[in-house]
Amino acid sequence: MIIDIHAHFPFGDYTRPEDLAVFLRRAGRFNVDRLCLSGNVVRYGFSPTARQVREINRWTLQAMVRHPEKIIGLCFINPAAGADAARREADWAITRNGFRGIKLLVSVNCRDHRLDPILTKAAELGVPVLQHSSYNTLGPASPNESTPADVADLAGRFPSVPIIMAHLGHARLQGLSEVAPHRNVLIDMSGSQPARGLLEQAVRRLGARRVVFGTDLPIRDYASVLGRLYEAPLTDRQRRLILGQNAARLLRLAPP
Amino acid sequence: MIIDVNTAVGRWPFSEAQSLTPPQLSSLLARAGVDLALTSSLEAVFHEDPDEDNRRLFRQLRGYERLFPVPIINARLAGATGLGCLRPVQSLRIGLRRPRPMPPAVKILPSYHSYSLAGANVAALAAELAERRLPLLVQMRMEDERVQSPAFRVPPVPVDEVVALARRNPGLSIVALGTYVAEAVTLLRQTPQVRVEVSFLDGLDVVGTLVRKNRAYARRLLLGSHSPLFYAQSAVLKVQTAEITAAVRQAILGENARKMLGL
Repeated sequence: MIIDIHAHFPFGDYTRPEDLAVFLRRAGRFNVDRLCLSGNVVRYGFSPTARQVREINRWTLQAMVRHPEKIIGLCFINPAAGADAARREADWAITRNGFRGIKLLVSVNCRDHRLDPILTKAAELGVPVLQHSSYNTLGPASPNESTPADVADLAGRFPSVPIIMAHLGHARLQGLSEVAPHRNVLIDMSGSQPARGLLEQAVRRLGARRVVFGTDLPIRDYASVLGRLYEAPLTDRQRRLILGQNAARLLRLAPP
Repeated sequence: MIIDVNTAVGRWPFSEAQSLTPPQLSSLLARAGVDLALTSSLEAVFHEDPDEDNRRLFRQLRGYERLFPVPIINARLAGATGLGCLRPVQSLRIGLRRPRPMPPAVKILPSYHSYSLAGANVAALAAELAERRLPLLVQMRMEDERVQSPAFRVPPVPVDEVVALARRNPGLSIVALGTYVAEAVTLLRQTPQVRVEVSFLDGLDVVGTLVRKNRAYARRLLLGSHSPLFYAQSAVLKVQTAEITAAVRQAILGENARKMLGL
């Protein structure tokens, strides 16, 4: 089973409901079985209102309803919109509508305790959190963007919550070292270009059970991200873990 | 035939994994299905005078018929143009049945060697290459600027400079290596002859998307992997899995490059 843990729809040039078919056709071309969608998380800038967050998540829900066998929803939450709004959104999405995880972006840094109610909720519901992160030589994308060191801080505060740190391509070796001691942190393969050696380092430093396949579709494509996995000198067992077994475990999916 | 127009051998100082010898590069390209590759020296990226690196490259690549040596020229150096800069490759056998008197192309890295494409030396080099019908490979960037070492930040080549160079030299064949999508579209739209390769292009079916945008672009897209800095299979898969016709696929994978190189 191949699971893409990190995809966005609608996004960029793909904004009509029927454009989802383009995503699914592309996924099918690479034998990707399931896509974890978290909507257009920048549709209203980096800090949307609770109402805007709901609209973003409704798009994801529509995709889940239309393609229940393919689409898994991750509930986007803006921690800056307040703890009550965050809890309401998680209940609406996860408890009532079957979303299987939480997606956090850049409005609030991981060291900020406004994230605590959300991580507490994730622990209560038993779902993972997909957290944006980046080391960017040109400077952060937003003032509160989290680095891997910030993600490590969050992971230390909530050791029982699985945190998928997005963007191996932006973590660098420094970021891998920073999250390595935190066993609840996994990393997804997306981010930047297919730089040789990073994936092998992720497997060496974190172990194959802590690396998950994710693309950031449609910003990145399956060709670019899967090319890394196919060419890296890994065992078949390691590839299976990364491609889907780790994500299936986190998302509590039944084995195929 | 699959031709990769953007590869290198040697040591990349920021990562051991991105430093490959000729046999290692030849082997991984073979696994990716690449038949021929244009190959330069990674050391030459950092040396003010790449002459010794070019000579070593040509020696190292003897016996590796998959790898065509491409010299890197620092156009900022006085005397970098003219026959002198091409001498190292004369009389070398580079994978063809008969020795070629010239390299298949010449590569420049204006950002790493600190010069503008608007300078007089570049104009002289461009004129000479056009006369010899040798393509000029312009390395726009070596890395995503966002993940460069904070202590070693190198800006990309301004795309406007490439457009201007192409317009001043309509007879010169130019390949822009390492463009992002927006830069590639600018070059494809604003010049009639600049080609781009796929190594830094990304996004959902980026190759198919570009070809659907303008079918004429298909003749100016080339396979380039940027190996060993990038995984070769990422580039090959972008073309092999694109929603394009078989003929267009073959053109991008190798036929466009074969024609450009006169092979």
